[in-house]
Amino acid sequence: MKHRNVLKVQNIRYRDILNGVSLDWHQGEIIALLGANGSGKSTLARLLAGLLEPEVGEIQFTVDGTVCTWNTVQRWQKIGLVGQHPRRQMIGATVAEELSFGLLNLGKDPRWVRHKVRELAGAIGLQGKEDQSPATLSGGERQRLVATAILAMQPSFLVLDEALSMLDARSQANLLDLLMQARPETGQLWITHDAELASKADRVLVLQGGKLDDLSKPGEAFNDTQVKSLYGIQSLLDMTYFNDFQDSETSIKDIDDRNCRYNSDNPGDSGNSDDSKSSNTAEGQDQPIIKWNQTNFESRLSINKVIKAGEFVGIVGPSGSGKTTLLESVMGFILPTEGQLTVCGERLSKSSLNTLRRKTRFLLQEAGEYLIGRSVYHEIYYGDTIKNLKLKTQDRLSYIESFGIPARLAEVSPERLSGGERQKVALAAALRTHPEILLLDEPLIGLDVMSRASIQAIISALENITILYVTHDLREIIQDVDRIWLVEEGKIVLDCSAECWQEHKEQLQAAGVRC
Amino acid sequence: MSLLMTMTQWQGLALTSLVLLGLVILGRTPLRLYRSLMVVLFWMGLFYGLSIGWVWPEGNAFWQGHWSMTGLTQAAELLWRVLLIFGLTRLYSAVTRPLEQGLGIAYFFSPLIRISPKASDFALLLTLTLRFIPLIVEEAFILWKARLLKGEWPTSWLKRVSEVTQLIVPLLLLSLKRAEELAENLMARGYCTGKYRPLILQERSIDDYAGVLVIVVWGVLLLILG
Repeated sequence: MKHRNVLKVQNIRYRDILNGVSLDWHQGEIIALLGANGSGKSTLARLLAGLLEPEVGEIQFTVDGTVCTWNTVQRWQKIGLVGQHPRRQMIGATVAEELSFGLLNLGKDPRWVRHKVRELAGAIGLQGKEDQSPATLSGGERQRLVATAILAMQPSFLVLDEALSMLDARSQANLLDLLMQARPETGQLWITHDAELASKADRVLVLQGGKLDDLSKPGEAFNDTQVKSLYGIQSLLDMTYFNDFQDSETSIKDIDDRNCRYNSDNPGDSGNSDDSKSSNTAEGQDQPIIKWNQTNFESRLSINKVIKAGEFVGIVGPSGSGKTTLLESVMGFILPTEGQLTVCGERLSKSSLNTLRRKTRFLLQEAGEYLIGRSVYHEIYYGDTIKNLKLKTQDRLSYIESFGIPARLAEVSPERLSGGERQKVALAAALRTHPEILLLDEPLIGLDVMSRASIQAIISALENITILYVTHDLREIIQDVDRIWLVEEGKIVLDCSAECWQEHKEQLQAAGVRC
Repeated sequence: MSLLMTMTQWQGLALTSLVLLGLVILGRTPLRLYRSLMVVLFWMGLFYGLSIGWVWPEGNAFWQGHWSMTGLTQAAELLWRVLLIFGLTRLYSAVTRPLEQGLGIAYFFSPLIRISPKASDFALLLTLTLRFIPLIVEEAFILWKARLLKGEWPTSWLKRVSEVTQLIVPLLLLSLKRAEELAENLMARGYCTGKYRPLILQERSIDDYAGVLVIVVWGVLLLILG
């Protein structure tokens, strides 16, 4: 009979983040851990992986009923940890080094490791790339590489701290395959905001107010109305259009099957095909605001499209397909090598960049991570004169509050805010100057359900503004969007109206888009 | 080899020149790669020519001096050595990726690792530097973008310096965060001091052995000729 290990967490406390957390986690069991940004999920992950020590309470590792003292357990060997960002977890200079690092630390024979590395690389589709730098791999490949490197050490438990959240559906499915293969021998803790993913777990836990609540099986938890309302799971389910446990039709399906504007046969004419759209008929909003005329950006992007003023375009596609490059082209971060790009009636060139950048705002991916202001107020009003910055008028504070950021946080350093708050600050800073064009690069990534909902509400309420919104998850935008572009290998391979997206569902799903 | 080249006479330099020529031809590197060397050599030639070739009697002003044949010969020899070292380095960096260079250095530390765990730490440091510097450059670039998105870049130099200074604190915070993440990743993979072993998957081929033989013969000849 095989050894079955149990990790027993008994009433642990850590600063004011965890306030008496208890948990029994069995080898082979998959637990989904939900909770708001800043609720302490990552702290718990670090405690379980042995990177932090609990201040009060204890963690016990039990092998077949025999308790091992936590201090004697080789935690790194027994408990693996995979983080959210593929590019920030690499240690090795090559794929082979990445796969071998842990194995060599385990004291394995180098010749055996060499053989094993080739076997592992082959198993995850990286054969022939063993001597390449991990930087040359896609996000999905890198995340699979890290997970494989850790699973190769045969940990009894594996913590995945939002490890799947940055991946497109295809990459996520590949990584899930890997995790499911390891399931019999590995207990897994999936920290996530994704109800669909949580539904695949054996048990759902919610971390709230520093305490852990066991909601038992996902099927039961997601069907219990009281539980759903208590933990905000209802909104989580609504947000992800998670239908498996829902009887009613989602709002996506309520969208009329109106005139289809699919024009992938003639993508160059897409800009002239908006006749059926009713939402942007205000005067002055039929004018083209962005026009790519047979434009090439090195070998990264090739595009021939027009966007009219006031349009909301959803841009989807697999990782590395050129979505961000498309947004960067509008901002002039990359200039055309062929053809021309006209933004707000002006041809984009080095000399027109400053004028155009005043009319356009771009919310970078994980914008909340890259705030450069000293305080929330300084970040939002960055670039103002010192005299103006000192004038904290009621109008200015009200503006901050209109984004759901309390005025008392105005003088707080951005690093002290939660992920959701930081993202709102970035959005508030972008919208302060009333731009004509707003470019959003996965603005909801890594956010909890409440933060997502409030940011989505802000974006939905925007009027008289042209929005280009990049995402892997069509469900985020389907209710607001006018057009959907599918980008693959630097080309727009599908341009359809929001009303007829379901006709192209298979194509979208095949490209790794969640819909 | 660089050390040996500082000791060797003209015969050794001539031999090294032949080896370099052979390697350039075998490596099939385009000659334009070495174009930038010409500019450096011109200025260095001027510097050495003047500093060694131009002599003046003691107590006189330097413009009362004259060109010395011995000095000019010495300057030419020095320039020859510099040219060879620069040429070999250029060729090496053109045909070897940075990560291979790092791994190679780490690999040659392997015998020392058996003697002192510090050698292992140094080898890991090299590998991590190769990983960490591009990550920090990437982060700095994103911060730069974030700044550009906030509005026009000032034209006044004073304001530009102030803008760049404002970016230093967030960059420092991000670097510390990334360094902490890296340390956690190392711990999570069971690293502790002295444990690092570089892994090179490639099997040694005939070419590798031939290369080693050439270097050994070349080194021995330099020693003899020196």
